[in-house]
Amino acid sequence: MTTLPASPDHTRRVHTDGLGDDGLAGPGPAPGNGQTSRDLIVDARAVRKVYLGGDVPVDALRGVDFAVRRGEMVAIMGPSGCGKTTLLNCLSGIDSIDGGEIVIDGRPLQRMSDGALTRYRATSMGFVFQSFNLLPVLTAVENVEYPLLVANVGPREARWRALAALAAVGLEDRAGHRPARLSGGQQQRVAVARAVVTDPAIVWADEPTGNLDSASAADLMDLLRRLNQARGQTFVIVTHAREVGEQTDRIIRMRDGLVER
Amino acid sequence: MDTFFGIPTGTLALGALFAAGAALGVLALRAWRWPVFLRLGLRQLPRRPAQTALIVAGLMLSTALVTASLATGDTITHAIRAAAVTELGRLDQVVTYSAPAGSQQGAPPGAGGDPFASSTFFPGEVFARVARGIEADAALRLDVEGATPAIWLGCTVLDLTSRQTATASVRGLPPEYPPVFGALVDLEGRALSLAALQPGEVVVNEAARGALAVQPGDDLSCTLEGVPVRWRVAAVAAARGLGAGAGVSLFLPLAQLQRVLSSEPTAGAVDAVNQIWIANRGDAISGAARSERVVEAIRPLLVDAGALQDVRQLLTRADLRAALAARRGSLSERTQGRLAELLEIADRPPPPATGDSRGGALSREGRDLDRLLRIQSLRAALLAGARDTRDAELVRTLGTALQRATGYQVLAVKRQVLEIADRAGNVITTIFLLFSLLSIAAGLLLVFLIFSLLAAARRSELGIARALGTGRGHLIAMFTFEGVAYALLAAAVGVPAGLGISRVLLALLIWAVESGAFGFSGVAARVADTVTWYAAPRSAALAASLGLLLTIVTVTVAAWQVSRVTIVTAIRDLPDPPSRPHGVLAWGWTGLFPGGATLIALGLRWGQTFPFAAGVSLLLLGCGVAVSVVGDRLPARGDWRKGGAPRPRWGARAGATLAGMALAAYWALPFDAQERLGLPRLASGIEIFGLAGVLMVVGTTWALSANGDLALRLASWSLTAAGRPAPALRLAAAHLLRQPFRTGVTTTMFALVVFMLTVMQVITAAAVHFQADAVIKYGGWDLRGHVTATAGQGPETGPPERPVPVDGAPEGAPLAAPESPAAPATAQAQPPATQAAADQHLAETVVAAIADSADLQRYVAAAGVRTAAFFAVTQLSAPAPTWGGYVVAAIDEGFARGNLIPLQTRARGYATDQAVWEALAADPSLAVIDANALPSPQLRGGINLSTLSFTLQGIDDRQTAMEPVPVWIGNSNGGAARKVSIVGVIDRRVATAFRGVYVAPEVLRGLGTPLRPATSRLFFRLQPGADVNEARAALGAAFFAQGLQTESLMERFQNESGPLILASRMLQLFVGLGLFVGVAALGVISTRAAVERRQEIGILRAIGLSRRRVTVSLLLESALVVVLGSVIGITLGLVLCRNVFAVQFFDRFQQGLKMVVPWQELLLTVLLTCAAALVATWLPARQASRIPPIAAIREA
Ligand SMILES: Nc1ncnc2c1ncn2[C@@H]1O[C@H](COP(=O)(O)OP(=O)(O)O)[C@@H](O)[C@H]1O
Ligand SMILES: [Mg+2]
Repeated sequence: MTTLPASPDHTRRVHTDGLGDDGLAGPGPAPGNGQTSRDLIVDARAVRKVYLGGDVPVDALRGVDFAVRRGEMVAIMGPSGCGKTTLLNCLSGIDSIDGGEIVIDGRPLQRMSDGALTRYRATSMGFVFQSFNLLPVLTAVENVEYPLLVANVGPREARWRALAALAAVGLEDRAGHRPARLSGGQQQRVAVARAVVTDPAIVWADEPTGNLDSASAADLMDLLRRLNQARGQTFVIVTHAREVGEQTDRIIRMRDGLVER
Repeated sequence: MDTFFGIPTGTLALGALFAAGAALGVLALRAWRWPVFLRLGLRQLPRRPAQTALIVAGLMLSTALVTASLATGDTITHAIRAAAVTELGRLDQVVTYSAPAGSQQGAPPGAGGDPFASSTFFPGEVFARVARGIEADAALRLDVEGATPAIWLGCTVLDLTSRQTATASVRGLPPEYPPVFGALVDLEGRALSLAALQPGEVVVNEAARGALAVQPGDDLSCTLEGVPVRWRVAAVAAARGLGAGAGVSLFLPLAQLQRVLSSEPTAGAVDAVNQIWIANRGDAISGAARSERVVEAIRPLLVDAGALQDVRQLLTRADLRAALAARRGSLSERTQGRLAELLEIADRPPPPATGDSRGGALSREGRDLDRLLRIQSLRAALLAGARDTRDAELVRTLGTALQRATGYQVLAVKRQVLEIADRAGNVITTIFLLFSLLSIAAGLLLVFLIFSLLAAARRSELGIARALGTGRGHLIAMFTFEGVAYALLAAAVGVPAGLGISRVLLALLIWAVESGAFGFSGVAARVADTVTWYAAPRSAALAASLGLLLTIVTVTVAAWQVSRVTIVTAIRDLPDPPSRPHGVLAWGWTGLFPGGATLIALGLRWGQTFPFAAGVSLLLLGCGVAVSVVGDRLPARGDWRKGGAPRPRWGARAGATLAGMALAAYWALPFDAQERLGLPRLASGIEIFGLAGVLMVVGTTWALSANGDLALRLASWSLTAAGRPAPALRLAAAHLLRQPFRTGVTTTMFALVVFMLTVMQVITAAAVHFQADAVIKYGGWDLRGHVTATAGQGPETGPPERPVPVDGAPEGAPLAAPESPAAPATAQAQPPATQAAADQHLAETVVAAIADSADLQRYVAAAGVRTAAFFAVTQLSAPAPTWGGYVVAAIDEGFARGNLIPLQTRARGYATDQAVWEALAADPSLAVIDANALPSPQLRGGINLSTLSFTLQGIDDRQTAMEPVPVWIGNSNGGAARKVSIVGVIDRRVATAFRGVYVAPEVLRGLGTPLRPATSRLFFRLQPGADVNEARAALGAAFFAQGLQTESLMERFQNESGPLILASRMLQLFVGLGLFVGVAALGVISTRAAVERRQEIGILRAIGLSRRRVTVSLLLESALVVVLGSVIGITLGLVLCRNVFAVQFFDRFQQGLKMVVPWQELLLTVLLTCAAALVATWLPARQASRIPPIAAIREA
């Protein structure tokens, strides 16, 4: 078992985006305590999303209410085309919404400028995509340190933290490899390392096991679970695989652009 | 290339260099601040070496093309200049002196009464003064390398040994003259010293060997300034250094020449000279750049301040003032202004007299006076005013004072020669300019295409980077780093490659000339000798920095576009949803209207086409956008990104169609259309044609690509209707439609390349057709000659006349080195009519003698005489008949029978041109006129420079048959008027060499004595196979007594037309280069298409599509683009050519150029281009078809 990168207190983090208030608001309550809006890292209400691209508009999200507590590991499940990916993209701020409100870590996404959103993603969010989506020109460690460098962390510290994160996912010996020379499971573990290296408030994962064989998929879920438990890292995982869903704290089911109650 | 859009190339290069440097600096700063993004950007290069190589090759190609065209333009300009200055060598300025009116020296004042018409001798002491002045002036010493006193006289030289006659210049120099003027070396390369010459010995140059068949030891005879002289040839100097040049020159020590001349009392002091030569620092060409400063500095050394003072005094006289005031009205506006300025200076209180009246510093007023009094029209006005006072004493004193004040002149001869050469070379450099502009446009499109494809390829990665929190600025930087890396590589390879290409092309051409391949048959052989490859550093700098700058700008725009990716769709590589343009874009377009209006106003104000037309284009663009906005409340914006067709919206379609068509139509308008609408004439250069071409092509493809779906649907519908379902075609069409932007840019590029091919070929064909060949141009004659009635009767009998060109107009010699302008005119006064009549008679006896001599008949097949003089001509049938000056030429029977001058129009009733000529010689009521007399509309307020002001109305350039047109010929010098009927018009191509109204000899005789004496020229056609030089020598010897001199018209043709023909061939080679750009574009596109569609192709293959079908479908895509581009390119190219030729744009360089469409060559080149393009597509297509179905699907 590898050691996890040190972070003195995972519930106390310093935000570099000028909203230190929220971040310094004392130790968060343990999961399972009574819910307050403070505990909610994701709080979405009546989210609507309409796609206009095709010939007929598609109501992808039709008023979704959704909340995630700090340190929670949540799975979103549902049949293909029900709007899971859309919801994830909207929650993470890489797609816009047409109605409702999304508050992440106390900050309403709709009121943030593109620049602020970009900075927020760089410092407080991690992403794991179904098709790994590593930057092919960078080595594993460079891929992992990339978000740190974007967030203006010094190069030495960035390298050190990236190597630690790679070690955490068990790939310290592959640090110098380009993605093309890694297996799918390894690539996805690098992607996970990249997602957690900034110590983000929340990590979004869209079908992280979708492109993996079952053994690699199980390994990856173990890793995510471990990170969640050891560091209190919040995960929101979209999946349609039951085995994945069963490993999480809570499953949210979707159908036709709505959350099933 | 000297200017682009009126901006000097040097300035432009500096600006571009500076801008590129600044851009690189900004990028370097960013790279330093954001090393990750630099790394990310640069890492892309080695990742896909093949793609990197393709991109660099594409970018390189455009840089190389621009470099090569600039360098070739330089080479040709340089060659023309170098040829022009050979005669002068390092001689930059000449100081001469004009004799005062009525002095014994020099020519008597001409009819105009200007006493400054010819230069005369002055004391050698003046040189000492100039030399001291140069020595004393440190700044001047930096400009001047050397100066020497000299005598330079023209004369007709007889070689008594070889019995040949030639016009020559005699130059006397101090033996220790500064080395800058070039050494004399003999044919073996040994130095020849003037000091070593015995009295009575001269050195002749190599040119004399050809013209006089001279050998060392020959006896020469000539009459110099009225002094009969005999010399012995000591040595022949090689055509290098002082001995260079095509004219015959004799060299001897200055002191000896002075001694020879001083035996004649009129020559003045023994140390008299007639010139001071001044050479500037630099080389033979660049030295001229210092001329202005040198002339400014030398002039005050030569001004007689006391004489200026006298003039000033005289100008205050009341009677002269009154007379001048009375004359004012008859003066031109400019002269009036200058006169006012002059009188104002004269009225100022005189400055305190200084001790030293000459040399040294002139006061500012003195300089102003000097400057004004040098203006001939002003001097003429003053003298005329003085004559009006009827005070003979005033006329005399004013004349003398003016003379003394401004008698010395510093002539910037080198600069004048270069200016003439540049004007002559302009047609070529202008065409190259057009070519460079078009290639820049094509190159820009290629760069643009490459980077938008690259952006498409990078899209998903950039999406991920955005998701991970990369800001837009970072993204732009990252993509720009990558692009600039390509650009730097491309510039580093492209500039040397371009220089190399132009070098190779030139070498190829010279090889072709020398080996006689491609129909050169030695035509330009002499030019090839003088043309050396030359590229101005500023051209290389301009090409490199322009390439870099264009790439940086393009890549930044492309980066900005990608940075706006919708992250979600980019990651999944889906098409972007339609988005409302926001911010600047949403309303920015409304700025097109005021912007356009402002430009139009500026254009009208400045009288320039460029801003005007740009303004109109902006307005048209604005209208298009407005239509599309109103149409669907969304500005037109083709969705060029990968993936999906934009939904056709009628507003966007209507807007693009409207604006595109209007743009194309506006630029396709004839260039004089605006004038017909009553707008003022606007000035423009050839750049406007380049711009017109680009905008026509862009407009057309824009309109077409907005409606491409309709066209393709129509095509596939008609194919289906014809019972041939063509799945491959439908697939190809679908792909093209899916990316209208990419399709549009590719088509535009290809169309532009074909457009360029078309325009260049038409212009070249016109030039080549015009130059025809020596046979046509010189009417079938091989030699032209003249006799001198007094020449051969021995040197003692009197001064020979130096032949003066008759025709009044420049003898169609745009590219020939002008005859040494520094040689003073020494035409001696002769009783004009008698001399001319004697010459004519003599010429006729020569022709008669040839007919009787079996010996000469071995060489000469035909001989004739053409005697020309200047008369007034009028056409009563013209709408507003006036008398205009024109050359009237009488031809004898020999000329009429022997010439092959083609007629472009001939009167009905004559079966052949020959019949017209023979009828003319026999019938004094007939005449033939040259085509230059036909009215020729000029592009922009062309001015008729020539004194040949008669124009013949009612006959069109294109008509071949005519009714006889009666005209009257009159003599303003007294004498009767004669009526003749014009029954033929000489072909434009020949017209310049044979200007005039051609009549029978008795018509000319009946007209009486012309103002200027008539001149007779002999023309000879040689027997087939006869050697030109042998024939010349035989004729010269046979008619030595008549002083017969001949020149080879073939040689003249080579000098005149060689460079143009050479340049035309060069252009044709070049056009082939442009072809590569179009081909490269298609190659890039197809490669990209093959990569993009791996998966799709895999699926198609899995479904069962054969490899061949896959290849065909990809090829079809290119074929559609190629066919569309070719049709657009050829059509618009011909439209532009028609417009260019309709306004006779090239008339300012070469009159009579006619549009010729070389259909065969044109179709051949276009077919070749298409074939090459398809080959370029075929390679990636074939590779794509080899994709194994499984692999392609798995990879996704
Ligand atoms: N870019 C798009 N344009 C139009 N419709 C889309 C787009 N992306 C997704 N959709 C539609 O939105 C719905 C939800 O899609 P998605 O969130 O990807 O589903 P899931 O991830 O649950 O499979 C689907 O019906 C899909 O067709
Ligand atoms: Mg999904």
